[in-house]
Amino acid sequence: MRKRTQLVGFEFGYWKHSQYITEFLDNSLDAIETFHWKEIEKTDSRNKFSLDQETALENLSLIQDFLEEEKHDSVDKEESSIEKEEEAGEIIDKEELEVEEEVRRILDDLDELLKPVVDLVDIEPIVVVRLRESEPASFLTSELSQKNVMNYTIEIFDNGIGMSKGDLRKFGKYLASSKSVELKQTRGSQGFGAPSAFSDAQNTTGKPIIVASKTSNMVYANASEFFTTSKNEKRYLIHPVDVDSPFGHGTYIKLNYLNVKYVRGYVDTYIRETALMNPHITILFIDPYGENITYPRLVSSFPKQPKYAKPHPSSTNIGDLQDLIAKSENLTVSAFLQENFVRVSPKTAKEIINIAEKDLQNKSNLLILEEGFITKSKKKEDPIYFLKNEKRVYGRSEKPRDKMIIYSLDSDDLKNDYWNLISELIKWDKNLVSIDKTIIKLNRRKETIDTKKEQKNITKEVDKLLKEIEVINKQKEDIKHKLYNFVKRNVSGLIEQKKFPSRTDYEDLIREVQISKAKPVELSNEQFNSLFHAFKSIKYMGPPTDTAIPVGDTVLENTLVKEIGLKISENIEDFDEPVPNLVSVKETLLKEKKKLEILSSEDAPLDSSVNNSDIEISVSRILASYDILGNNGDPSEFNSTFNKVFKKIDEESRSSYRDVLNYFTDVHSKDDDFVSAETRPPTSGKGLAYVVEAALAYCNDPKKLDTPKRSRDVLSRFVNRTPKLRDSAECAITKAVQSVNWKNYKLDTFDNNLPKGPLKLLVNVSGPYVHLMFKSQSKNSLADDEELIKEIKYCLEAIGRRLRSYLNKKDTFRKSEKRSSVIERYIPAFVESLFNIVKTTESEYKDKSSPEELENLMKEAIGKKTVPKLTPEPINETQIIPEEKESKELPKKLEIEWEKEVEKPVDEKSRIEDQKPEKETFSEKTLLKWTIKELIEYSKEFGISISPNSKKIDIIKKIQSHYKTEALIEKPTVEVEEELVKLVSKRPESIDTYITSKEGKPVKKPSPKPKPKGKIPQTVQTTLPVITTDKIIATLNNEWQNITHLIFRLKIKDMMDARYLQNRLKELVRRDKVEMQIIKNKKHWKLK
Amino acid sequence: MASKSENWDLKATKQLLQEYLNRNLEEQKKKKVLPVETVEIDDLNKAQALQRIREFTDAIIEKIYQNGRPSIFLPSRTTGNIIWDEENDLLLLGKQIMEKQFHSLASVADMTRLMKVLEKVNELLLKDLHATKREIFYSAVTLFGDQKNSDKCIEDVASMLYTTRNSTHIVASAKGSCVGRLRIRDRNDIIDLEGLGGGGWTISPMLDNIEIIESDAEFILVIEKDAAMMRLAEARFWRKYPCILLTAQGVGNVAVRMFLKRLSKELNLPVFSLVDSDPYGHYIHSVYLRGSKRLSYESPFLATPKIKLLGVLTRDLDKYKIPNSVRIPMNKQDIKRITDLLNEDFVKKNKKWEEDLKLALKLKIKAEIQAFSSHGFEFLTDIYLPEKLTTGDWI
Repeated sequence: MRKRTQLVGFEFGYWKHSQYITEFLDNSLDAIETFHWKEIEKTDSRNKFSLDQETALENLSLIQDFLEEEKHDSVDKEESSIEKEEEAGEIIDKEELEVEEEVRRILDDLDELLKPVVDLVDIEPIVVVRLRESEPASFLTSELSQKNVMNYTIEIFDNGIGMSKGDLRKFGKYLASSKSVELKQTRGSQGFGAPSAFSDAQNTTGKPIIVASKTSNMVYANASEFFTTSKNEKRYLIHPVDVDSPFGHGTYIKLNYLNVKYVRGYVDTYIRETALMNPHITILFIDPYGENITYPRLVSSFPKQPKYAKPHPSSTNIGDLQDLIAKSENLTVSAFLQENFVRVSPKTAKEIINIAEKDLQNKSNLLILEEGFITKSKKKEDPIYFLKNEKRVYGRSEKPRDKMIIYSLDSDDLKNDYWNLISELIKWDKNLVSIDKTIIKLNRRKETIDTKKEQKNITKEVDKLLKEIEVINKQKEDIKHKLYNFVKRNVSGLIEQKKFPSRTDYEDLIREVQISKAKPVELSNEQFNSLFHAFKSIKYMGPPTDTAIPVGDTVLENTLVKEIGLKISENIEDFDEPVPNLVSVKETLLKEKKKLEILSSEDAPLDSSVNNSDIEISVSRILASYDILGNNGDPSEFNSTFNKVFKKIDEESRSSYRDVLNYFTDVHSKDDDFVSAETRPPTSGKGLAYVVEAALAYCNDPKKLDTPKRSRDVLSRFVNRTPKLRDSAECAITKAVQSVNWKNYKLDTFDNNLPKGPLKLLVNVSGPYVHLMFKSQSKNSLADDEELIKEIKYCLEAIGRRLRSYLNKKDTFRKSEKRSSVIERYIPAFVESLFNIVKTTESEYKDKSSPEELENLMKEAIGKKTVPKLTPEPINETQIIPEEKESKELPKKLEIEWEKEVEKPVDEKSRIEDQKPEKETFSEKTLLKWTIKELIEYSKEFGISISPNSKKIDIIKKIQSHYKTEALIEKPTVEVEEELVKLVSKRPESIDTYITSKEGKPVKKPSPKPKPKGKIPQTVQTTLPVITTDKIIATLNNEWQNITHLIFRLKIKDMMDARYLQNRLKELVRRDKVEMQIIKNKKHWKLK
Repeated sequence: MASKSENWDLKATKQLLQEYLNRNLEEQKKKKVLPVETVEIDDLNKAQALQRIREFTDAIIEKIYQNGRPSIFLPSRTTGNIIWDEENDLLLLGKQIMEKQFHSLASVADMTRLMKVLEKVNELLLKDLHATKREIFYSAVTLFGDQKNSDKCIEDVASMLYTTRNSTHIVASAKGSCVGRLRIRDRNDIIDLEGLGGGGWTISPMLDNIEIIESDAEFILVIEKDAAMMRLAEARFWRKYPCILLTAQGVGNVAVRMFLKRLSKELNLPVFSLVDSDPYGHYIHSVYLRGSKRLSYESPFLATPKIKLLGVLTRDLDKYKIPNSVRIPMNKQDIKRITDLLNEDFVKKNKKWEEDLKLALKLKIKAEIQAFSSHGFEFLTDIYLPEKLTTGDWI
């Protein structure tokens, strides 16, 4: 047993905790995925996860309190249970009662573990991991002479596919993996992890392993308690028994192990990183300190199911081929090759066999001719034989059958002719050998040479030699052909050897040479070796790349955003749904356009389609009239504002609108963090198809993500979504990251050239054959491969380029911010000097202005340049009003809606107006922001007389007094404009959404989505259940009945209904209508 | 070589003086015209300068009222904007204008400093006082940070107002001295430069207080080094040969150059320079001749285009048999300076000068004025200078 433990390397240390987690968490994730993929294949599956619902995991926090209360109890419980278990360990032949008690204890544990998620357990893909510690029995630690050793209980539950009884029996044995049949992109596959963990667990604590599992087709879950033995068998303490389970499908494992005290930073890191790469599964972790860490599901869809992949010849090694051949049931080698490997066509199979046969001919000195065989002699004295199948009548049969006839060449003439040909063949062979040698020499030299030019020359030479080999091979074929012709011509000269002593030897030889005729299972060693060499010597097409499934760049980006809490304007709440507000913008635009179309139907018809630039312009228009410094407005008012503004679109100002838009984009995204992910197209190098992806987050908030002190905290490596925490220095991923020149992308680096900064960098390599790329058995680091490193490098460089532009942008923002503060600092000194001069002169400004006024003016001008000046002049009322009238007549319904929306604010407004006499569009504040020029122009437009040299404040006062008089005259017309401005000045929510969408990125709604609180999503029931509460009560009587009885009596055929029945029963028990008792580990019910 | 006792008659120098006098009569008839593509700089009096400052500040306040973003326009003083006026033989400022904006991080500090300097200038003008650059710097040390900044702003202010530095009443510290046949008035003091012993009169930077009363000199001699000046003063050179001696101890600063300009203009005397026979000496001569590049906008007020390079010429080294022991080989920097000089337009126009520089480049030898001491201390005053002045052996 000890040996086996060492095989997978469970050793005392912090890493051991995460090793346990690794083994079982990966299995759990695979199980959940398998379940999901299986279920979605069914058209009417009722078991599948309801992924479109918001994860109701907020509720978990409520239960957390409950858990904490429970914690103390559970410690007591634990102690008592340990005692019990120890007892159990001694008494193997338990009484039935004790078994029952034990099973009940298992169920209690399970119930407790699942309590927080019990309502989600059938609808949400979830993994629950709990790690608890307790003092180990003293006799266990004494020999370890280690302090701080604790006993750990790990429990892990997943609602994945579960194991059938048959699978469960195998579970825990070595190499009993259900995944190694065919290879696809999975996390583990060989069937070593769990069994080794089991043996370590029982070796260190002497406690059994507890497993309970249930598939969706089983009524009861199957629970068992067992040890694994050195004979790779299981010794049960509790033979598999049927038990009630609180889950519809899934697996529960509990085991104990000894290890040094748990510290944070290993297991929790592993789980966090796993959650990062598997945002489609909810992971719940309860650590030994009782802290609940929840990683809720972040996406609403699972990744695509990877395809099963046949191995590619280039990545197959001799052992694999041997295994496959030993298992094969094919009749010919050609069929075997085609069936078991990808990219082997009949033609390539034939080529492989040809090469193998040529090799064998050389080795066994027997040449295959077009018909028959001829020996290849080395010495002149050797006898020369020609072998051929001829139809002869022999044995008991009277019909002619194929028989191997052996002729010998006796006459000297014939021998001479033969020798002429054979010596030529031998000469070619010698040539071949020498060419081989030179090729080897050249290749060796190539390794030592540095200059590319010389290397090229050598490759050229090698190519030339390879061509020569081809020519020689052709020549050899020619000679063989000649040999055949020569034999055919001189049939008369051949002497049949009737009673040839070593006849069987030759028959064997012929069989040996002819691989094409051999059965794969029966291949001899020689044949196999030749076949393998031939198999490896051919160039194949790269493997198909559809077997590698990446996580996806958007998923990665969004996971990082949510995990770290990055501030990204283009952050999105939901990955699939288009943003409703943007849709409404489009719809409104379309409606408006159609309206206009009807209006102008006499003229040329308008283009009724809405394109991006239309939206852009209208949104810009809204923005332009919107007060930047104002606070957020009601999004519901957006539409009506929008409708009005829409009508004012004019072609000329498009570009200036775009400026406004860009300005707003800038303002909104200036504090943004950065996240970018890149998924490379799948590649296949050396026969392995894989896909590389990376994601990088740059966070400005040190609370969320600080600059890591150690370089290893920057980079997280993943292989097939599984985090790799150890051996980072040797890994190809690390090397690739180091090979990137991060300084080019404005990033600092650590001494080992990993990027430094408030960064998180994820690199994931996915593919069905990635396990072949590992450096060692521990599967912690990928081996160096030029292609792989190049792929990762390209991937990172693509991200780096984006990062650079982000950092540049940030720099400019920082500079402009610095600018304003610096400039502000200089203003007083400047104005003071200026005024000291002015005071002494006879300037007209001597009395007119004051230093304070000048200072204010200059301060206001800071940053003003960046605010685009656009349409401060009010929209002309005369234009709007008729249009509005017209539109009123046309689509009545819509108009009514409008008015409702619009009227309310107007009423409120007019009330305010009564109090505030300055009832024009612009308040004093806004006017103050204008420059003198603008004010003068504005007042000119409205016929307000202003002396050219008057001060700003005077102008504003004049304008305001003008408003007062104007208000009395123009009240009705102004009102419309008024209301418009009011609406405009409120911030429309969906502007953000629009701005970001312009960049072609997923769109985010900043408004928080109302989350269902306290509401637990229910299983989607597609058909009405056959069973009702009445029916159940009717079926129940005063006798104890278990679930199978009930299922039988209710004539339930569907597993879903059975599940429903269980739930109903639970509820009935809660309502005190039904009594429940556990008899023999099974729940029994009866009426009260 | 002439003997010591020979009585020199400065024939050539007198001839030159006569020439100048004649030309001056003609020149007074036609006015000097600067080329159109250059900026016109005026020498202003107090009231005019104050007026300009007022106009300037008014414009700035106007701008602040317009959009709160004041900016200043001033002629660019980069090399690209410096033009050599062939006709008048001067370096002048071109018409390139640059704008300094207050609301720009690059120039906000400059703007504030400029305003500070302007404030000080205004004060100086009002109170009719003069201040040195250093004083300006110390008036707002924290704002300027470094004297380089304030010096730059002082020059900027002058060019911004299209006037000379002198008109801003900011003066360079006094470094030069003058001795010889000249009588001047400094405000109320009448100074006879003949009777000041060997040290001479320290040239005052406040030249607008100086008035030239009279002089019977026949030429002006500008000397690079104090040591050579002392030699001549000790020999009472001006007694024998009526002249005014001037030194700036190195490159001529603004005060010395301006004083020289005034002397040559008012007295209409031939001006000679006596510098070391090395590239730096030639450069010093060129600064007197046409002004430095940095202060090119003031060239018309600082340069003395008629100054002649008397010595020590490269060709004199052989002619006067300067021994090898006092000849110094040129270093890299010297060679670079000499090639730079050879590339200048005003050198190319002067064939004799170009020839001498080329000879220096060929020999790669330099020597100081003191090299003549190897022939005896009196050689310079008794033989070298009289002989050169008599034969007209200058460039």
